Amino acid sequence: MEIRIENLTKAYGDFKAIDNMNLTIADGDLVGLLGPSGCGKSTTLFMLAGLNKPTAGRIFFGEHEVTDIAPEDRGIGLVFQNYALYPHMTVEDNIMFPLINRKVPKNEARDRAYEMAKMVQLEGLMKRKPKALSGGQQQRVAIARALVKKPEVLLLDEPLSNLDAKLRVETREEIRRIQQEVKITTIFVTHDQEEAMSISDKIAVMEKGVLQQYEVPQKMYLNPGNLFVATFLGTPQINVFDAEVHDGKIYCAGNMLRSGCMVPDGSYKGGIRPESFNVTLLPSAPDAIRAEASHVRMTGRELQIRFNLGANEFRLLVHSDMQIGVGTPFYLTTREKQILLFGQDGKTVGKF
Amino acid sequence: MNRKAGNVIANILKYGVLIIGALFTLMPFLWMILSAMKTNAEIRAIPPVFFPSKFSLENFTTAWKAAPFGRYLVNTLIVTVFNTIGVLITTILAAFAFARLNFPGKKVLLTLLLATMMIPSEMLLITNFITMTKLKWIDTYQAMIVPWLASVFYIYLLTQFFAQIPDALYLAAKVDKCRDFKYLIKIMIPINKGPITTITILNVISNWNSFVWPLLVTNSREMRVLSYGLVQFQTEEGSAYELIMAASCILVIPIMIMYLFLRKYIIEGVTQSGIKG
Amino acid sequence: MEKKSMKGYLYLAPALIIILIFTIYPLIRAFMLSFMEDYNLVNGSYKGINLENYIDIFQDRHFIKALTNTGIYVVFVVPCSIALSLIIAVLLNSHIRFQGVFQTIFFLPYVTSTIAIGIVWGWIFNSDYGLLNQLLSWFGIKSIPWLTSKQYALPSLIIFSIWKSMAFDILIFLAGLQTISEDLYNAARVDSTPRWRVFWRITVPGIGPMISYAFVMGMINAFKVYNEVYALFRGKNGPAGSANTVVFYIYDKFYNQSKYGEASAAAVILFLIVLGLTIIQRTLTGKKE
Repeated sequence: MEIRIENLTKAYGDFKAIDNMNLTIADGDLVGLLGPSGCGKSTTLFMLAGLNKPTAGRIFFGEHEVTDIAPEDRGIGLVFQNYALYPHMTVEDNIMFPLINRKVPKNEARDRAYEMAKMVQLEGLMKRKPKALSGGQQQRVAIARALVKKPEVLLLDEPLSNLDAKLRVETREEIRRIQQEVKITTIFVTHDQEEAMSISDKIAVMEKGVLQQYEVPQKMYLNPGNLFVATFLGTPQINVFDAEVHDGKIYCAGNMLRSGCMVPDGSYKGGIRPESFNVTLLPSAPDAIRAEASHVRMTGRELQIRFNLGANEFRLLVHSDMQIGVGTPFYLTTREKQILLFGQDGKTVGKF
Repeated sequence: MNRKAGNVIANILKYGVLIIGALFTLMPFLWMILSAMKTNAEIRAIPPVFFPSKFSLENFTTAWKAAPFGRYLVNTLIVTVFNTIGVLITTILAAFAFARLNFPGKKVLLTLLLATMMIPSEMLLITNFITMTKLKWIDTYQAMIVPWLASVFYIYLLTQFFAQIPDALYLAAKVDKCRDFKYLIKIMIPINKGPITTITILNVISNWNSFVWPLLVTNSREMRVLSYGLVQFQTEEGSAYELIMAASCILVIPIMIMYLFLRKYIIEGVTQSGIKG
Repeated sequence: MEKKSMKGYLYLAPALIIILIFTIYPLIRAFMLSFMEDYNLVNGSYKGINLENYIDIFQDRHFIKALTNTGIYVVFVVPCSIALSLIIAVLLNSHIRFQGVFQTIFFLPYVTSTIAIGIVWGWIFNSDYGLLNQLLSWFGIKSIPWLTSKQYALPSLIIFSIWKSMAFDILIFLAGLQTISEDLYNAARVDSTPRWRVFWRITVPGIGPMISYAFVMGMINAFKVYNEVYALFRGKNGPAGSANTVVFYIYDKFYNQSKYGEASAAAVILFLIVLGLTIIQRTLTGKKE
């Protein structure tokens, strides 16, 4: 089911929680709605579910407009952050509940519930109450309950935020697997960019009620549309510095980082990711920049090094076999096509 | 060494005070049960004897025959059962409205209702009695049942519990095509079994023990409830205390047994009233 | 939250109808009746709208007696019950064995029919065959005519009422004590605070709201005492009205004497007293929070 959002706005008095959002989600895609807390991503999800009424704009599921349709008639499955399992019912009754409400005969409802339980690997737990399940199992019950009525759209609100780190990785793969198996258009809300990038077909990044960019994860990471998206994606964060362009050359605090750029002269914000430096202990090229490590942190796989160019602080990542300590001088160049330039309005100007 | 001795003395004092207190509390109950098994001669012995010479239930059968306690019991049960069912219906519906639904004037209404808890019920009896007279309900079951079908305290208590159920559950049910009334029946009530049990028990006890109102609105022997029947029995029997004590047992012991099994719910409910006040 | 709709009233209707007819209407009606001179129930007639009923009851020595009795009752029952209950509750809360058993026993009077157990107390107070005089005789005290003399009627009522009201006080004190963090007591112990100071500086302030609540509820209940009197004195208000109470006075006026106006006036006085006490309690606990 294709989902189309047109000029969607949600206002509370003067405050616009969602501001004129336009988005089309292709049939069968798994989409991560990503943004910091308060950015409007949950509001968007709840409007898709029909639990929040938009102030303006329209929502289409396929050919049908659903803007004014009640949640129960939209053909959606919804998984809540805290799962919202009915605590007094067994797993089986929880999964059967949406079917019983839709007047599905009890036997058929039970068969479908068991079928669904098998897919989310809950067989054997059907007679338990939610309290007797682990967080991950509760999550799967919630997904089974959402999917059992064969919805056309699956919506998940922060589905992994209540799980511990290890389970989170397992469960997100599980969600991906189930989604692929059912081939259902799925939207999930998250504030964790790694989570969004790892399983989504596409990511929609939101900030202050405005959709910033909608793109495939890898493309978005490499070609962020603006400074916000660039800084929101990636850990450690992208390095942002004051860049000067003069005669097609990009400078940072007097150090020339790149030449031959077709950009008008002037001041820009520059961005370069920590993994995009080439570091050597001896000068590797005539224009290599000399720097000194001010902090070094060993994380196992890599060394995280901090250094300064003028007033700009940078972080970079190198393989952990490099012998660099605090105060060690080193030489660096930047990898091709890895320097981003942003205009004063934050929009991306180019990649060099 | 000294400290240890001090602790022992403190413990003896502690348990001593508690045991004396417990005996003081239990004494009337023990005296009631023991007296109910004595013979009339033992009752009138000077000085009083503590234990009956033999434990016989004869006084109970005599008392049961001397006055229609069977009828009183049936009346009490009818009033208790119907009133309690009614109270549960009004309480659950009202608590759901206050905890879950949004309607104009909600806050004002809740404040007003809470304010009515300050009204002493004694003040209302006069007019309610007149109303019963005008409705020609005197000496009927409905006179004992209907005026007490709603309790602001229970509504308030249950509203607090209903309000603790997370919104997500309501929204989830909505997506699952479960409308308000069904949500109340299928989700809210089963989840709040505990508080609803508490309200049920408190209401059963207050019905069972109620005295003034049945005294006012019933005249005939056939309509009397147990407490009123007991008072009449005392007047009729005068000083046959062994029978009066046996009759008192009929009123006290059932509630005592219920209390022993369900005290968790009762204590919880009464504590709530104290803490929320 | 949901959009506002009138559906809420549908759910509230059953409760609201009952409350309107049997609480709100009688409340208003009681005020009206209290100003109607010589109201006649049969034909609804009255002589006039005035303060006659109020003047009458305040000139009635039975009403004054009921008020002074209530005053004496409050002075003895409320502090005694609170002090004894506080001791028991603190002991119950001090890691003792059989806490559940003790708690079950202490709360028993609360669920028991006042009428039935009042009749039992009447038997205990019996001057010839009663248990109490027997116990006192061990200490060389001569037989006391508890329920049959003007002098001892009110003390009998007070003893019975303390016994009865301790159940509630112990329960809420214990609940209050259990909300005081164990850390506070441990901290006091580390600072080697003497026990009495722990009691006055940690325990009492910790359950301050409960004590004030018990105090006010005790006072309110004192004004409403009826069943206790009825059971002890076999439907009378003590020898020569020596154990009369406000509510007993109200019921007697309207049920036995059919003086609805005076009964209502007394009920309005009762209402104002209860209202005043409740407001005091609300402001007291309100300040503490």
